[in-house]
Amino acid sequence: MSDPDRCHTPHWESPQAELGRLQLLVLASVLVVAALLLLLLGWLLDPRLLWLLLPLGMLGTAIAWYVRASLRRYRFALLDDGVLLRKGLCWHSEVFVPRVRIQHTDVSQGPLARRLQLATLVLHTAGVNQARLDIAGLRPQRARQLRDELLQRQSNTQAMPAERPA
Amino acid sequence: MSEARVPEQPGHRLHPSSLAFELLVQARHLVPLLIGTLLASGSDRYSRYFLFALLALIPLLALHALIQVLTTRYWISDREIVLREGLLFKRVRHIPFERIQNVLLQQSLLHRPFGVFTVRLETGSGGADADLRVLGAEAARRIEAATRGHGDVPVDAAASQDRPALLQLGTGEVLLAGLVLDRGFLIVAAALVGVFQLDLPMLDLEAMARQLVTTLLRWAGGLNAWSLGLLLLGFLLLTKLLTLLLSVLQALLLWHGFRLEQDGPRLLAQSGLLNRARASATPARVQILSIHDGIWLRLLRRRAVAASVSGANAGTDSERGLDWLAPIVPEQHTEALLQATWPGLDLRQLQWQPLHPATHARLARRSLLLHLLLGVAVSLWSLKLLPLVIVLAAFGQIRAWAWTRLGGYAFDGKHLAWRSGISQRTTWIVPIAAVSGCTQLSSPFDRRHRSADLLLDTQAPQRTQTLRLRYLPVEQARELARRLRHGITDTTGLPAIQSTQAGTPAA
Repeated sequence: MSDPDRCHTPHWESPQAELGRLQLLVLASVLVVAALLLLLLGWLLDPRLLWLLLPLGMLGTAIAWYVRASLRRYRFALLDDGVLLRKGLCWHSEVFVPRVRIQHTDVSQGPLARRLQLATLVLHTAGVNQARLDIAGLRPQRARQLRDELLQRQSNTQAMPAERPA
Repeated sequence: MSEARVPEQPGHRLHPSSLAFELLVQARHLVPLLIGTLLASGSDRYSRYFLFALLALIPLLALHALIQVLTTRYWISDREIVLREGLLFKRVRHIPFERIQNVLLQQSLLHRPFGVFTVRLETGSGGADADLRVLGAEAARRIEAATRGHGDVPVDAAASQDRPALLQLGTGEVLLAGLVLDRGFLIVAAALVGVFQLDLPMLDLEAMARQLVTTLLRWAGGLNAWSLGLLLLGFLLLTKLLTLLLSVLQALLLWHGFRLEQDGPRLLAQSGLLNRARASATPARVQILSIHDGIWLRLLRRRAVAASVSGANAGTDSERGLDWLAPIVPEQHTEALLQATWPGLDLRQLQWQPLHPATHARLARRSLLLHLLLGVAVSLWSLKLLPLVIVLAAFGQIRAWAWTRLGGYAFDGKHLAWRSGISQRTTWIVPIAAVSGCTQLSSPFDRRHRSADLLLDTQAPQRTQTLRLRYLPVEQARELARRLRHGITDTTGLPAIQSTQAGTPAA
């Protein structure tokens, strides 16, 4: 990225490749199901429905392109005081979750993610609107490692959420 | 999950009239169901069986209420309150005083003749609250005093009058608040939504509404521009009057006799005409303060200060935790109120930074484009309305300019503040300690102009878009985010952003 960062240059990790594979797999499954459905309807009702396969294919290609492009920006960094996550293709966002506000974490795997041996680290914060942050496309081991690092360092600092010292 | 370890001495019991109130609460669940069944049912066998089944529930609920009331006991020790309830399914709760974030003493119209309160102990964000329904005045105040760490000591009921009031609102002020804050619109909107969600078979509301709209449109098409304009104006004025009336009524109900006191660090507020509600909170739990301002408030030299508190459950207005620090307050007293809540905050020392310089142009362009589209659409339908659209467009331009001029943000090292709005202006203040997450957002347009938005998250329930600092210069946004990050983990203060030069923050 061309923008100069703060004094600590964060060490960015990007599970692009793995996450890309996962998201494309999900997309492919959805498209296959939709195509099959269309074939079925075309056979049962009206063969002209099969023409819809063309726009479906185009839509699928467009979505695939979009997914790949937006993943190029997807990256996260583990800082001393929290986690930074960057994502978004058109609408860029950079989310920061402070370590001291993390209440608990989950390492979860969907069925497709399990097949690709990928996991998602979910950070639950004390907040209300951005109460959870998902970091997807991680190897399960890396996810657990991140979780341990976050929780371990958290136990060293004052970890009482939102209680200001009087 | 604690064992049924209960102190030896017999605990305090609820007030004798508790049975009535407990029954009322049970009935509140049952009655809508009964009414719904009666209205929606035909006279076939099944609906009658259903009705009988519901009616059979009543003695069961009464029995449940009786058991609940007879078996509830509580003990107050030095460090905690112990609650026991239930016969078959005994439940013992130990609530340490530190976990109690808020103590609410509620008194509805029905509570008054008995002189009782429903005491609600709020424990943490969305955690299980303990309701003691109902306790006599002395017992209720004893619990309130105990949560301040005094243990089982009877509190003189008159003591609360000795506490100096930070703010006390007379009826006139409350009426003023109702007129100025104009929450009537919200009531009407909510009522409309509620009405349309009711599915009454007798009245087909949707068809009625459609008929009304078509009749109106047909009639309006035949008038000339002036009559149409006058009619619209008249309609708007009428709605405005109606909402104002509703707002004043609501203000009276909610804020009659409003009194804000300070007890140590805690803030105590009580108010209400029919439902007398008391709420308290410590400064650490106040996540957001918002100072409301506006044309009318300025003319009257008043402000309104609202607070968003962590752990406050979204419920009816009378059951929420402290949410209004001051529905209306003379502007010179605003400082004192803020000082009482957050002693480290000095509103006058805040150095306000302007928004990104390109903001005005962007907002003006967007408004112009919208009105252009509106003008095209309207002129396709009826050219007579075009002058109206032009007037609206002019207003839009003025608004764009005003919004940019009046907006701004400030950071004093410990608190982040920003203001927005034109006629209804709000200054938001969030202490770093309350921030639980921060996001930098930029759209493609933002990136072209090198600006960014900052989105904050706290523990207080708020709509996402409320805590959004818009149109910050991108370097300032990054700098602010960086300082917030350091500030959240580091408890010592940081130097404030001082520079107004483009792009280079001092210190």
